[in-house]
Formats: sequence, structure tokens, C-alpha cells
Amino acid sequence: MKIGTGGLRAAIALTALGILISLALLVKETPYTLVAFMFVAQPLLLLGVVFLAIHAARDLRSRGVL
Amino acid sequence: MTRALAAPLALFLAAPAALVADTSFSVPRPHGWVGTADEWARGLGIAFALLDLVLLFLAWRALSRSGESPLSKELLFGGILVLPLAVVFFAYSYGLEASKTVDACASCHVMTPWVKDLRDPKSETLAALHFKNRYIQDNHCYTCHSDYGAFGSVRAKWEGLGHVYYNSTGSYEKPIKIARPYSNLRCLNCHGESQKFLDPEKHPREDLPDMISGKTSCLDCHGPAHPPPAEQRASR
Repeated sequence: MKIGTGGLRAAIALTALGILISLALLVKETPYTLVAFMFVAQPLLLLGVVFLAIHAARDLRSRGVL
Repeated sequence: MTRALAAPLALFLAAPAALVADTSFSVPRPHGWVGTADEWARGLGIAFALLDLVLLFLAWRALSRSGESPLSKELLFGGILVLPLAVVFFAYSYGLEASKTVDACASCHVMTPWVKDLRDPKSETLAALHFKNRYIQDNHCYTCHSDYGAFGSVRAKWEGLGHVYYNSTGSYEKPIKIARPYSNLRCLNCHGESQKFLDPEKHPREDLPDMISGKTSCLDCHGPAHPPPAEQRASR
């Protein structure tokens, strides 16, 4: 069974958003960019990893490895 | 693919060096100067972030063109699992240090009168004296307004979150004032062992316990630390 790439695209989008917020902190440090990095960017990056892991688990299950 | 990666790789290599080469500094740097750790953390963080965005773009394109393939999986592994770790590491390394600077404190409008006085060479307040004579090298606000040790830093950062909230919502009670009595231990961390402080003519031995316990404030004799509220309003 072939599984779609929607989860992977979501992971890419979430990671890109997290990286852009981190980039804002690195380019111009203000209390606001620091708070955005700590409380928005990092959860987004983590969510990207979770989406990737879910996709990988589904992929492995569809192949009968898991 | 090699051609597509050439430009971002060149940018990746050039970004840290470009950021370290600060052109605004007029005093010549010491021989062999290669920048501070913060400058390198910032430069490398930006470089890794840009490289990651390129990898993510290439991964998206690879997914669109040929679906899941070994190439797209490699790009996803690098772009989602590996490079973000480096970006987060350098962003923390730079961001936490940069949040201690006077500029970071001054970025909230409510702090303008304090920072203006601090940078005024004619001001005789305690904060301005420390600033203009370079008694404190860097991070002047943070050095005097955070307790020492790891927990002092954590507490200062935690309270900083409150400051961002109050500033964003405009819920400060004006004129703003210090949250709790200023601890003498913050002064004594630098001055406590100085010969000037230990001179019994200036600080009699019998008065030291009260100074250390905070019963007598350093600011009683050496203040004011900042201009009083009326002058702050006038200087806005």
C-alpha cells in the first residue's frame, strides 16, 4: 500500500516556519523574537519531527516491518 | 543537484565571516582578532538556517517531481532532523547572550528614560557613572539587575518574560519601579573585596553586618541609581 506525502509536506512547512522564526532571532535579537523562538519556533520544529516520525512509522508498517 | 547546492554552500561559508567582520567598530581590533563566540554563534546560526531552508525547498521539489525517493529522504533527514538541531543550538547560544545587552532592554519603549540617562555622559546617577567609566564592561542593566549564579540568570529570564507580557499588553503601572528592594549583594559581588570598600574610614567595620544583611542600603549613601520619576518624565 502506497501512503501519501501530505504528512511530509506538513513536516517541511512546519520546520520551515520554525527556522524562519529562529532566523528572525539571529538577525535581530529583541525580547519579542526571543519569546517567539522559545515558545513558537521550537514547538513547530518538534511538530515537524513528529510528523516525519509518524510518516516513517506508517511507511514501515505498510511494508510489514513494524 | 550539485549546481543547485553550490550557491547555498557559498552563502553558508561566507555568512559567518561576513557577520564577524563588524564595520561599525572604529577602534582597531587586536592582532589576530577573529570575532567573539557570540558573533560566530550568530553567523553560524544564520548560515545553518539558510542552508536548512534550501534543503527543505529541495526536499519539497523532490517530493513533487518523483514522490518519495532516496534523495528526498536524505534531504528530509538533513532538513528536519539534523540542521534544525544546529540552528536551535546557535540561536540559544546567541539569543540568550544578546538578551542581556542594554539594547535588548532598551527595545521596550517604557525603558527609554532609564537608558537615555544611562548613556548620558553628563549624568551623575550611579548607573550612568558605571556606564561612562566602564566599571561594567558589557550588559550593564543585566549585571546590576540579576542575581549571581545560574539561578539568578534563570530568574532574570523568567521575569523578563513577564516584562515582555506587560510591555505587550501595556499593563505597566507608571511610573514603573523596581519590583523588590535592591539587594546590596549585587553591589558587593564586585565591590565587596575592593580596598575602597574595605577601608574602615569609608565603611566602618561595625556597619558592615548591616550592609551585608541589607539593613543599610548602598543606595542610601551612593544613590540615586537612576533619575527620580519626575526627571524621567521630563527627559522623555
